[in-house]
Amino acid sequence: MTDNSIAIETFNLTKKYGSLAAVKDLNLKIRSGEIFGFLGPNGAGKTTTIKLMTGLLKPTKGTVKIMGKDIQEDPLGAKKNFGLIPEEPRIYEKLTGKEFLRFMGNIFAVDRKEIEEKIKELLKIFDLTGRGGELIQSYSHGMKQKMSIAGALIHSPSVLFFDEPTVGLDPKSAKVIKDIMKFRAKSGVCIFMSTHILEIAERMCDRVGIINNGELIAVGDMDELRKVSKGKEGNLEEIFLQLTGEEEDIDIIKSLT
Amino acid sequence: MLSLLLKNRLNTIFLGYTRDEPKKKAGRIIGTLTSILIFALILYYSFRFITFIYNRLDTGLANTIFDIALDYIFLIIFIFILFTGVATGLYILYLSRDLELLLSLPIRYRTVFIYKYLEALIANSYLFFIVIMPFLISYGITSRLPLAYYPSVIIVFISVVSIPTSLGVLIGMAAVRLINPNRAKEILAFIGGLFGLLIWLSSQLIARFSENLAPQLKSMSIEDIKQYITAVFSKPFLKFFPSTWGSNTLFYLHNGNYNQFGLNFSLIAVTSVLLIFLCIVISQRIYYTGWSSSSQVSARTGFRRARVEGERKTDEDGRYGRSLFSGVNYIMIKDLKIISRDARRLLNIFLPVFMFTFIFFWTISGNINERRDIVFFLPLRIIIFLFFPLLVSGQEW
Repeated sequence: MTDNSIAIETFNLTKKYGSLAAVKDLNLKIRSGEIFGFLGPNGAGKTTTIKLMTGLLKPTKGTVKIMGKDIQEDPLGAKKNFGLIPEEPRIYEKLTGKEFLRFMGNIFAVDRKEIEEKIKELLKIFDLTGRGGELIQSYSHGMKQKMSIAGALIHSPSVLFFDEPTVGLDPKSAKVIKDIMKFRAKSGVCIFMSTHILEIAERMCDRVGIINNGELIAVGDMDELRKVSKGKEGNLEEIFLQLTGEEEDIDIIKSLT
Repeated sequence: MLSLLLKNRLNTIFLGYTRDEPKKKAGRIIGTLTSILIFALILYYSFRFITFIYNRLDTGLANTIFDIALDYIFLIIFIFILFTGVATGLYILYLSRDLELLLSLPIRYRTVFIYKYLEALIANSYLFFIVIMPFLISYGITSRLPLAYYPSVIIVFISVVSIPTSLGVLIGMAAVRLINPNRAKEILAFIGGLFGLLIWLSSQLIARFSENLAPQLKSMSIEDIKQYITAVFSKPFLKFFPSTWGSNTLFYLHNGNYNQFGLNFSLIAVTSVLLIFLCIVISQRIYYTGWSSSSQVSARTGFRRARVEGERKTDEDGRYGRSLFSGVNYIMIKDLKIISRDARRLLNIFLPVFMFTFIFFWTISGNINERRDIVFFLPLRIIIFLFFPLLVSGQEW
């Protein structure tokens, strides 16, 4: 792994809330063109990690580099290189779809002509061509999520952060988003995705990191994860449950039913 | 970048009038027309009122009255914004919905801060603009003041509003580690209620004071009245309030005392600019850190909840088994818990109860009951009294 190919790098990344450590000494190196799945139970520290990586939270300790730029030292340089798609779309609902995309393009200093071309292209990809002139507030949740992704893609970023990208989406929209991730990754974009849906992680991700109680307990491809889970053969769900100690829950569920 | 953000904001406002849902669009248009109507009515009646005062009273006495009136009007604005400015600042700087988007984009923290500061300034001042500005314009028209008066009014108004806003923002930025910004609206409603109460009590005191004063004034000469009013209202401490510099600016311009006008104008304008500059400088050091730590509050709660839930899992069966309550009681207990954790709901319950208790005791007191005018105005006063905190707590930015 050469340094040039590393898109995201964290070094001893730690976030503490008083005595509670939400993220502990996270060390990760994710390559360009890689789809990295970040898994963990509720409250494990997935969203906090994404917020730390995107500069929305200040780490207690450690560093994050996006395309070699430290997010704390050079926030503007680092932020120019990524797009963030949060779990809940953060968009200006009183703007029309086109105006929101234009605003995002202007913020990233994309050439005006290019912005207009991108708007057409993105609206077409997301099946929103006929709705681009309507206020975003009239969109469904899925459409808002698509608009949020389109906004993050307008400047062709090198890194994309997805926080639970398919939550609340219909199967068709979810497929569009998965296809976009694959397509972007092929063109060299690094995708960092937190998800609860293990099937998506297993099928799409090149590598998976599992976080529990703020600690990265395993990282690697499926074969490497199987080794970490003491040779447990099976799918990602079984490995995940074994590593996060939630296998006991299955017994509880069985006893309840 | 700031111009881009402001252009975007103006665009959202414009689209709110033209493209929003019919109901919201109608509400917005009616609200704006009402504001214009209120502005016009205040302009008309204040014009008549000021003309009446100058026609009926000695010019010197009228000048004294308006000098003091301006001092107190600006002082009220100043103090009100100083108190509400902390909560408004906390809310706009740390809880705006678009902050997460803006701070994840390649925009300088300083630019985001200035943008949010301007939002806070407008939120703090638009009501006062509608109420006070027509009065100040009338003051200029009735006295046939030179055109330079009107830009001065605008600069003075912005300065008077910006100084407490800046102070509020500075306090807010310092306090964000101690106060949960989620409580900003509750704080604002509480301060609004308190301020409403103060204004109402003051009006009662002034009414009683005027009653006693009226017979005395009839037997006094104009010079005595001027001296009396000055002695009662013109307090030395007022000179140290920036609001007084603002009112003096307009008063001295009105009287043609350009040296004093220049001095007061410079004082208020320089103080205002310096404080804005100080806010920007300090924001570079603490705004991002403060925002980061304030956004931790919800995350921290989420973490604790998730981990506590994990610990509870094993005890779930026992909990249901021990219960002696019915489902209805569970709902009531849940409601009580929610109310006790939401200061705004608490305030909504206790403020009217407190006010009605107060008004009840006030109404049954003997000497007041004899005054029919107060009984006549009572419903109106109750409405204003209840409306005030609700108005403040219901502000949208």
